[in-house]
Amino acid sequence: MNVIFMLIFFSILVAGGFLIAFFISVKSGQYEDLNTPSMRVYLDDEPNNTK
Amino acid sequence: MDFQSDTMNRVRFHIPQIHCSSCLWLLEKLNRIDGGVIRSVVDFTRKEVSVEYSPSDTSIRAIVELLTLIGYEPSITVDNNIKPINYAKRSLYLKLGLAGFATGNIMLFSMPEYFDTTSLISPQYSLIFRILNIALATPVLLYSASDYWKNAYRAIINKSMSLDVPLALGIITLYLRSLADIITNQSPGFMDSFSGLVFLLLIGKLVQQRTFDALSFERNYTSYLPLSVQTIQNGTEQSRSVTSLSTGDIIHIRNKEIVPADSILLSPHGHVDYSFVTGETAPVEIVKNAKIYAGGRIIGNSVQLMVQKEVSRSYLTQLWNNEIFHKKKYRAFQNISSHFGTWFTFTVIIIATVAAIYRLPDYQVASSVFTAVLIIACPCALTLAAPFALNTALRMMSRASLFLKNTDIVLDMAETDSIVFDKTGTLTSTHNADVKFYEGNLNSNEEKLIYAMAKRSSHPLAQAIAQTIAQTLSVKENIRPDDFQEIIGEGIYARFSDTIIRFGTHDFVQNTSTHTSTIQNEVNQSIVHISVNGEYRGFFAIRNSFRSGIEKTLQFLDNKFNIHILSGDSPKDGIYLQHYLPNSPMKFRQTPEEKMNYIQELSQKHNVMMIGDGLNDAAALKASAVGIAVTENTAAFTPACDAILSANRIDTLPAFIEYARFTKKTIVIAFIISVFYNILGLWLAVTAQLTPLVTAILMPISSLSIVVFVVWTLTYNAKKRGFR
Repeated sequence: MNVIFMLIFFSILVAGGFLIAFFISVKSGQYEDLNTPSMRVYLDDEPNNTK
Repeated sequence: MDFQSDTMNRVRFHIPQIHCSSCLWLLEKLNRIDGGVIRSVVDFTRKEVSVEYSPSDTSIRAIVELLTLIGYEPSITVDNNIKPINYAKRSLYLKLGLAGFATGNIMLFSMPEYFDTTSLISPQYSLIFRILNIALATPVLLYSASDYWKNAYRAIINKSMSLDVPLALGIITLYLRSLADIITNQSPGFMDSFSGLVFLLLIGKLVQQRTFDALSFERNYTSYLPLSVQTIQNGTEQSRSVTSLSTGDIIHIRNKEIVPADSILLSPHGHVDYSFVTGETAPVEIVKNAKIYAGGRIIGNSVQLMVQKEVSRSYLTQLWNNEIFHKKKYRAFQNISSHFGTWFTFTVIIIATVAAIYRLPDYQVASSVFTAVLIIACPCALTLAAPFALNTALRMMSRASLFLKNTDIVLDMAETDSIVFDKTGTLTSTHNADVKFYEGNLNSNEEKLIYAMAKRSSHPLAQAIAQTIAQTLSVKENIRPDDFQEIIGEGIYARFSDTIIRFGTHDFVQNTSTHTSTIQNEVNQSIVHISVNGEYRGFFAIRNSFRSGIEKTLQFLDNKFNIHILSGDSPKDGIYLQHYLPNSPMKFRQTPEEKMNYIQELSQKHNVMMIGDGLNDAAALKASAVGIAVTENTAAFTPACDAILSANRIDTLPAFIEYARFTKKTIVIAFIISVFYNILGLWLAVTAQLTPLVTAILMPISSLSIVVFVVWTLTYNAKKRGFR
């Protein structure tokens, strides 16, 4: 049963990691504009002419 | 300008023309057109583009010129329309994220104990679960719920109760009771309910903060005036910022441009359209040395002016020094919240005390009952119902093109009992003057010629005639007259090979023709007479047109509200309006100050809604409880207001007010349901049956059911009213 302690520890670690990732994403301004990125998908990448 | 360094500058422009993904494509490829641009990023919702460029390779000026060239002219005004980044919203996301994280984990850790009826779990596990729960819940208390502490503290200091007080009381009691229970090893505590409650409350807060990023509700005269103007110095033209203009400067204003400061006309004559500033519909004809006020729009030929007063001291801008622009409006929502908060807090404390005293000899049960009452009576369902209801209402109204500044305004709309209308631009449309031809008739060839000559004139009446004929004309030829003469204040004479057409005033046409109509100029219309080859043909009657359906709307509103008309225009349309509004007070030739004073006086006894459009209504909009600006184009300038209404939906106004009232009713019903939930919870609490499991189930169910009820009711009702 002691393995549960480890599992709890890891689960908190993983969840905490996601929380930190969320904090970073908010602070970098990713939640400021929720509309434009969805349209940017339609833009084609530049053809790479340097090859 | 956001950021500046030697190698990179970043600047943000507001571009109202952005409307599709192709705009996005073009604007984000700026670096391929101008090598100096490093990167350009579009924010679609705010209609902004942020351009990074290297100052050594290009300049702001070059970028603006490029943008204008490709059809995306940035709107640059003295007061830039760019809104600062909303850091309050960021911190709300963070608080919400933390609360959600804690809620999820605490719930998982609490689950084993809830279902552990046969003591399967060894005590060491329940100990570690409980420690983890405390560790997770404490940051929620300190960070996520911090706004509630601040608000409750402020409310107590100011001795004004708001709903935040019982809320904060409930949250803190829930936390402390759980902490005590866990330490004394009585029960696993209510930490899951605690963090879940904070999570739900924050969602409510987020929902309540909904606004329309693309619209600006705080504009003043600085966003109406142009940024720069052409000045003439020593014979050469030069561009200067309007704020640097001083008395005696000579400026050059072209067709459709706005006069930035009070000035005197140097050119022989010109036409000024003051409709946005004073409400007068007919453009004013001015002659040399006449005074022109700031905000007027020059129509026709370009003119030279000499500045008389600096921009900040012009007649128009003086209005903004009035204290009304610095006062915050008192919102109905705060009112309800504070009344209800006071009543609620005291009731809850009394019930808790009575219940505790009743159990008294037994301290343990008494304290547990006392805290249980505070916890369960926490008005969380209630605090969720209002934001969700108001948010839904806001969303539904925006579908029908009424955009509110914030959610609180819905309740102010519901309270309205008097509506004050501006006339010019609000009840009447700014374009499409109503032009009709009377008496004789014109053949199609004559129509063509009249169109050609009317088009050459800059006179507003001629322009209106040209526009109307253009609608019926199939081919728009540009026929050149052999001879063309415009006599200011009289009319136009033109000769097309053998046809001579004159149109203009009665005298101008009569003196040269055989017969004229006996029609007298009526008060509400302008007349243009026409003669062809000296033969009188009839006249055009031009009146400004009321928006379609406005008569019906006014009549409908008149039965339910006190309607007032305040106009800066002459009383020429008064008789027409009187026909539909027999009992309504109407005032004409009102200055902006008079409008504001009228509203302030009216507001003493009534809840006033003001509906206007121009700068002359700005003070009145601010003085009213709900100021709605009417606009034909939501990207165009609107004065500071509480809501922006698309002009073609003005006939929906009664439906909007009724819907706001329905929203208020729905909130009241939601309050009653939540009180019922609270009574049920109270009964459990008073009889000491409140276990962590019961709380964990009851709290989210009561909150969610109310949210679902409110959102569904309001969406359904909006659909029934046809808001789309």
